[in-house]
Amino acid sequence: MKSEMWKIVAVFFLLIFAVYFGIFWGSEIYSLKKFFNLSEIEKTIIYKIRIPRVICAFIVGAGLSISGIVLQSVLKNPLAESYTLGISGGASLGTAIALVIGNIYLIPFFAFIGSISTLFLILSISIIKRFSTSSIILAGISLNFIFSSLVLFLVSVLNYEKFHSTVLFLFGDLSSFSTKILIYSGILIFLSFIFLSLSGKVYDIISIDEEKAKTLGINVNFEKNLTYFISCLISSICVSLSGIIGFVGLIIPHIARSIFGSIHKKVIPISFIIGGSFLIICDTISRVIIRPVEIPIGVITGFFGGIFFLFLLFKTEKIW
Amino acid sequence: MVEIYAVENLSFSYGKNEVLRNINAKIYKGEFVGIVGPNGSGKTTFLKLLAKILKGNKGNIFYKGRELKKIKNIDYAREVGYLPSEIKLTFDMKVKDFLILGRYPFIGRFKKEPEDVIYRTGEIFNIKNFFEKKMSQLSEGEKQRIYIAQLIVQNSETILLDEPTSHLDIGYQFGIMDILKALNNNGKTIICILHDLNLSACYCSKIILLNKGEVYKIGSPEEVLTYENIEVVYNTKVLVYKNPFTNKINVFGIPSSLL
Repeated sequence: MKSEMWKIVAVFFLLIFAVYFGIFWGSEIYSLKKFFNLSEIEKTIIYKIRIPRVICAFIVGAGLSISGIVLQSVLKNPLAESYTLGISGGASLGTAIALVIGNIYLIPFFAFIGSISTLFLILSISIIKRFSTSSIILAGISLNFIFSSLVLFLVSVLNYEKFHSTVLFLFGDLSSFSTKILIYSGILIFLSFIFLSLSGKVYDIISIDEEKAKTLGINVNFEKNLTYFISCLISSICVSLSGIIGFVGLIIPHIARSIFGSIHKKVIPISFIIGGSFLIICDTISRVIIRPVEIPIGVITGFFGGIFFLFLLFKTEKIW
Repeated sequence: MVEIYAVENLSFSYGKNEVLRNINAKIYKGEFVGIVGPNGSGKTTFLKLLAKILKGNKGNIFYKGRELKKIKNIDYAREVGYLPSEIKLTFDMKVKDFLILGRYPFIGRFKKEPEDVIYRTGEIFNIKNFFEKKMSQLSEGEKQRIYIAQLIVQNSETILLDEPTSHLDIGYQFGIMDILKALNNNGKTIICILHDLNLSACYCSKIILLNKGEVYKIGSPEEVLTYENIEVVYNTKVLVYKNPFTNKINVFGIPSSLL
């Protein structure tokens, strides 16, 4: 019990460190002392650029992590998350279509339509074809590539000047989010987080066995559909803020489970904080690694995430 | 005798494939019922219909006089517990965390249950030293004991089990059946699918013998497990004899290649 306390304290320190790192590090590095006598330009940099960006990174990282956890639970598949299921790809196609139509306010809505239809496509295929858990993931990653190609095709045909920024978007990019939707996104993700954490028991039981869950009085179909709805909502918000950032929903829940066990009422809040902190740190690395040039955050998360995914594949092969 | 289940003209199909035909049976409080029959005779489907997992049957199932369809799942879960033939945990968890999930029907999604409710069950089942262990660290027999303990945490009056002894060695088979017998002696109604005819003869007070989706025979072990019935249903030769120690029926298989 006592050691668990220390683990939680460590997680909060991680968050504090991440926020510090995110705000003070970048193309210019400030010391803590400097913080109290900033010039006007420096104030603008910190308050108008870095803090919103840290918040955005936190929202995206935390959101992707918790949507990954609940998808893994209801699909009983430790490799499931919005990227490996193709949901993010679907959301990006929706976003691209909204951009082609030319209405920024349609973006979240279209992203959501894109993500949820992708999820239902992949689930129907897997039911009809009786896919194994790893085949579902293969299909999801293929769908991601198909959608990314479609997005680039649309952009090449219709608006070639945006080709470069679209490539960044498909790789995950935190440099060009719209601060207008940041606050709504934050509120929605936070509310989803509260609901999912409080529903922890339901995810514990469903991940044990669906028939068992039914006989414990859980309406399994309803809970699964609700989970799909919420996780697609979260993923589409994340995609409209930052493009496709892969593997976060895979790495973070896995780490959180290995440290704190897999009881969802614990794992969901812990992953929320670790996931948010992780993405702030990755984002800051992407800003400082070849200072002053900034590389897309997807380069960092993709590199570590890809390695981690391979590691997980090798490890879980034994279980199935 | 209090009637728990009354099954009337129950039929069920998966698509066009009819797996249960015109089942009629009654189960009373305090009975230890064994559902036996060859592979594909519809045992699991029958049990899942009783557990309210499958829907869309013809005919009726009554639970304590009320139509099963009309009982809410959550109310049903407060009285009837079910154990599937195989549980595959996607994520490992501690034994005590697993056990406490049995309280779900009583507390629902948002409330928290104090941990002490599982300690009494832990004492009865002699599993308190497992509480801090992970489920994956347990042997099959120990896991089975935890699964049954969870049904008791769930406070189930009626317990439905799908082959609770199938992965166990002979010692653990008797261990698990003894636990079920003790629960039965304390007033629980037990309904379980058994592959092993001798176990069912040893422990059950009533046996339902299914064949090709129909009830072939229903009654006490002595009435049902006769060599005539078994030879017809299982399509093999057997010798039925009383075990001199237990005075219960024993079925000896006689492979035709050795005749």
